[in-house]
Amino acid sequence: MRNFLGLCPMSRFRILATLGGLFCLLLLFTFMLYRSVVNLSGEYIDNRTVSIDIQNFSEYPTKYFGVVSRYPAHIIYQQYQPLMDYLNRNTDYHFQLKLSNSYSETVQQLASGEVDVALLGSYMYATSKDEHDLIAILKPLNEDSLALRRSVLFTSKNSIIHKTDDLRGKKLALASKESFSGNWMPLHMLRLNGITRDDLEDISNYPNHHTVIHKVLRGEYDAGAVRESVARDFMDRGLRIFEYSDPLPTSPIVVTKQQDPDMVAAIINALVHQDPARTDKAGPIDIMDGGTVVSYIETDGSEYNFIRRVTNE
Amino acid sequence: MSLKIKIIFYVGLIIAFLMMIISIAFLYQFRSVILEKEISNARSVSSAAAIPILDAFIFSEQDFYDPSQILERHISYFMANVNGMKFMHVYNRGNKLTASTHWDPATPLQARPPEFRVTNTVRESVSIHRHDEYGWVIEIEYPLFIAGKYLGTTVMGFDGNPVRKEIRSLFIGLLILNIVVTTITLYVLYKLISKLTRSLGQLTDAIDQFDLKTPEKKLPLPDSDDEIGHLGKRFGLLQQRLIESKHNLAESQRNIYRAEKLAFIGRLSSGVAHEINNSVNGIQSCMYAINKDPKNHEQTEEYMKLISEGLQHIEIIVKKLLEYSRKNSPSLVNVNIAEIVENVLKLCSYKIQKLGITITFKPDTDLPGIKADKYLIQEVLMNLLINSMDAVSDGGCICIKAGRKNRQSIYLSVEDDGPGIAPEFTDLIFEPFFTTKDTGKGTGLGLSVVQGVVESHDGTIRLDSQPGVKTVFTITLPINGKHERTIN
Repeated sequence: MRNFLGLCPMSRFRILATLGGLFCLLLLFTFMLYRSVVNLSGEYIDNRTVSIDIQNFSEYPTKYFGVVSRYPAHIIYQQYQPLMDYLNRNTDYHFQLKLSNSYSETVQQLASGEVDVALLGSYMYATSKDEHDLIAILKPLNEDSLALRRSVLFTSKNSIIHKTDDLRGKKLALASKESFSGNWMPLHMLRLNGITRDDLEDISNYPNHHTVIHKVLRGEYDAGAVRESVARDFMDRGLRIFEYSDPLPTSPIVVTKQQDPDMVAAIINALVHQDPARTDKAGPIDIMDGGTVVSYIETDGSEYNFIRRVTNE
Repeated sequence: MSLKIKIIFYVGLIIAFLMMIISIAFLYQFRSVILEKEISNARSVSSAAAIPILDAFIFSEQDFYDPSQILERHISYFMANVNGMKFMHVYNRGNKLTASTHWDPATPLQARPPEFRVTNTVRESVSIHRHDEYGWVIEIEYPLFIAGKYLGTTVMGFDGNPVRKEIRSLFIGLLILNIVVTTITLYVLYKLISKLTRSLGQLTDAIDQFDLKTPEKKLPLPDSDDEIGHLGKRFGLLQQRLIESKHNLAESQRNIYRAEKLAFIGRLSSGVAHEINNSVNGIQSCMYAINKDPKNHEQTEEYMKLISEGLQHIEIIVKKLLEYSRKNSPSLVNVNIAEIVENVLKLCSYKIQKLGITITFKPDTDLPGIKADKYLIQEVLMNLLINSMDAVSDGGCICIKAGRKNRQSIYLSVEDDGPGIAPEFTDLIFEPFFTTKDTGKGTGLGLSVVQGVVESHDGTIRLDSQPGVKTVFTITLPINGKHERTIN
């Protein structure tokens, strides 16, 4: 009897049994696959997953490192915490950042002992060192291994201003009055060109160097003055520098004269006498408004006397 | 199992297996992409959420304010604005719960499990698990640190149920696609194979129906322009060659028959001439001697006796030739074979005793009577018995057996323990005038006559001989004797 695909009953039974068995296996496999696919339980670790070692500093004395916080706190920490980590690894002290709203506040914190060491602006150091017995112990070196920076006068790319003299009758934006490179030095440059405040239509100060640049690029001001390193970041966004200052000393690391000499020595030792073979160096540190710091050099503070002279003009 | 079933089964199995492998690979690839996308989204939200929390912790460290309140605000903000966020916990650097969507009223500040700080390493981790309240949850443990400074950890839970639903939909979609593609492929394959096997079946039917007896009958052959079509055309050519071969064979058979007949006539003529010539020569010699000395009555009497014997021998030869060639139909009557055997044995009893031969006759109990010509059968048995007696030496044995062969016929066999017949003679033994006996002892016509009689009864005769051991002649005869035939 042949009635199913021309097969005899025996062959038909064998084929149906085989197909049935295969179908059952397939069903079981599909079910198990479904269970496996929809079961999302598990831990997912990829290359982006980061981990850090938490150091225990409870046995070390805590020292506070003062910095000015003109930006959100986490941005300031991103800039300066690597320096703290380096000092923590290479000294017997536990350094913690202490934020302040201004250099003046940082100076007060130094004077009161609230902070033990601070990164001060060169103007604030030069004008406060005598009053609060401050001493500069280190100054940062830039990518050219120079402890120098410059102020620049800039305008927008399409501006008619091409030299300092063109600023007459124009509006000028400056950085904070506590900033030597963003305020005092540009004013000094104007004076050197025979331009006084009265020769300008308007002159205003803003707390951050970046704010100054934005004001000029948006056309609110005809020109501005900031630190060269900051201005360079905006060269491809329509900024044009038309005047450079003479080199200026970089912002120093400052302590009070009463500070523990061992701690001061430890900081100098860690930052100046770096072992070239070490991979965890103190730099480069991209300091907002301050350019890139690659290393440090000791200073006796004498180069900052120039700043004092300029500010007294 | 037919070729069609085999091909469909194995090809179907291979296609289904390949489709399955490809689908599983796709499934896991897409699953991975879906999960990566969701985890990436969750990570993005986590890192965005981490910024204000980091600031809050930093300000807290600077003793500006207690972070709990502002963290609660952040959590509320994220819960309200991020779709699918189920819970969020913030732990400070001491692993104490600082803010959460799920404060436990009994223990407002929960400490993290102690195993969290077994080592001093924290890392970002993403896990997916089934939550009692929310079902499937993507949980991200996001450590809050800047450079080497660890400030705390956030734990955020995102709704994982849509992801699972998406993966399930993907699975079902691929499963349906698999089934549909496999079914369509098998259907197309089935149709193709059916077409192929239909042509093969057509060819097989044509081969089955082909009969050389009716070569003119037109057979339907596949005419497709493929291998099977070519095979059909080749079969058509083969058919023609077979028909031609049949014609050639028939022609050859006719030629052989003609040649054989001529050869037979030659052998018959030479046998007749030889047998008669011996007697004629003897008669002539006697006549010569009588004519030479007619008065020698004693000699004449003696030679006349010899002449008479010679004439008798010629008469016997002629008579047997006539018997061999007569065309009368046997007259069929009811015959008892056992009775015929007994009669023949009686007739030969003198010779049997003289030669000292032992003859046994063993008729089967179920030996039926048959319709046959009694006298012709008697002559057949007599010829076979005389041959056997001539063959066996003194004291030899002859065994006669008879019985029912099947429902339609009986057998009768005569077996002797004589020297047997050489294999080269077995084809000639039934030809007229062929004999292995000494000259003058036989005419060479006995077995020819036997064969003629048996065939006239629609029976058969078979010779089985083992030289030096035995010789058996076995005759089968129809019980009803209905196939009456003239002796040719």
